[in-house]
Amino acid sequence: MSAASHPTSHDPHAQAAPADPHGAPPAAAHGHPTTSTFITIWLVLGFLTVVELAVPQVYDAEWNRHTKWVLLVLLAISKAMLVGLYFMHLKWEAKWLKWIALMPAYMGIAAVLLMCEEAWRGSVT
Amino acid sequence: METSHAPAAHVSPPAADPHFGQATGGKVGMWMFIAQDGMAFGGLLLAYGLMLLWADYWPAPGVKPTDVLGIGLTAVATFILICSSVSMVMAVQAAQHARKQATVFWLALTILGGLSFLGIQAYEYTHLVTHTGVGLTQGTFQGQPLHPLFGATFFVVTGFHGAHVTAGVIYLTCILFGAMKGRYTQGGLSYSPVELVGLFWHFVDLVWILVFTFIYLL
Repeated sequence: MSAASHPTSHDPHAQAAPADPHGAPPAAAHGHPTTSTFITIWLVLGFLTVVELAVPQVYDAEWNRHTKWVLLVLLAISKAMLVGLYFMHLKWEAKWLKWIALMPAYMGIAAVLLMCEEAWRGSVT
Repeated sequence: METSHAPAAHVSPPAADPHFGQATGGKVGMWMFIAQDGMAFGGLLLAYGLMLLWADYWPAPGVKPTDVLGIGLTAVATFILICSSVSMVMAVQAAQHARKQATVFWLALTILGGLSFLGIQAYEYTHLVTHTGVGLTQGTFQGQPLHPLFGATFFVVTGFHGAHVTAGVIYLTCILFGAMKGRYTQGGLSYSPVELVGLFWHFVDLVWILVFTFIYLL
């Protein structure tokens, strides 16, 4: 039971037993994110949401709708990454857990493949 | 190594898999679930995005999704969900520091955020169906017929997410009862269930960020 003092682990010997080269040192060195980290991320997320709401108003016309799409997708991915990295603690997790979390990003690859196929189909017809 | 010098004092939770650092089995399991659930949402959003690219008009000629769907109220709902994510991290932090009262308070606040979101969604659905005229398979907007897939995709994607919020609220309520009994504030890894429900709740928030962008703003 004593080995599991995760949040208040100021004692370096408490968790030193498994020699883990990747996962343990960052968690031990930086500890857990503090309340101010969460407040900062919250404010950034709020700000990015306001920017997101402004984008469709600024890029309103038919000719610049692709700019709108790219900006909105980039903003959404940035916000999603902030939630994943900080709120879901991924920043402090081991490498393998990050790979698991990245699995749905395969959909991005699928999207690119489908768009390439669409472009090719557009060129042959 | 295993049994030769194993003093009773060093009995610890099952040995951590070195690949996952200090993550518990429960956390790895929750991440597995989130990854596959993320792919379910990814498939829906990918199909939606491609349909948007290929459609001659969306949702009607000369009409944008923002015209049909009220953005203001949904932006408020989005911000409520982000706030409930913050209260969730506060709950996890409180449980990690074995502070029972604070854990219960932040969990209750998170549930309140989830319920507010669901309330707004229920109002939005009612308004869209009865006032705007968006149906599941067909609809009209100011007398103009909508693309037949507009209502279908909108209700399926946001409904699938709403089902996740509902599940999250039920899950959070179960954890709240445990927290009130002081189950997760006994030190050590006892806070783990709060962290796991937090992962699910943040995932629901993360997905909404993408759904809001794809469905409402694009």
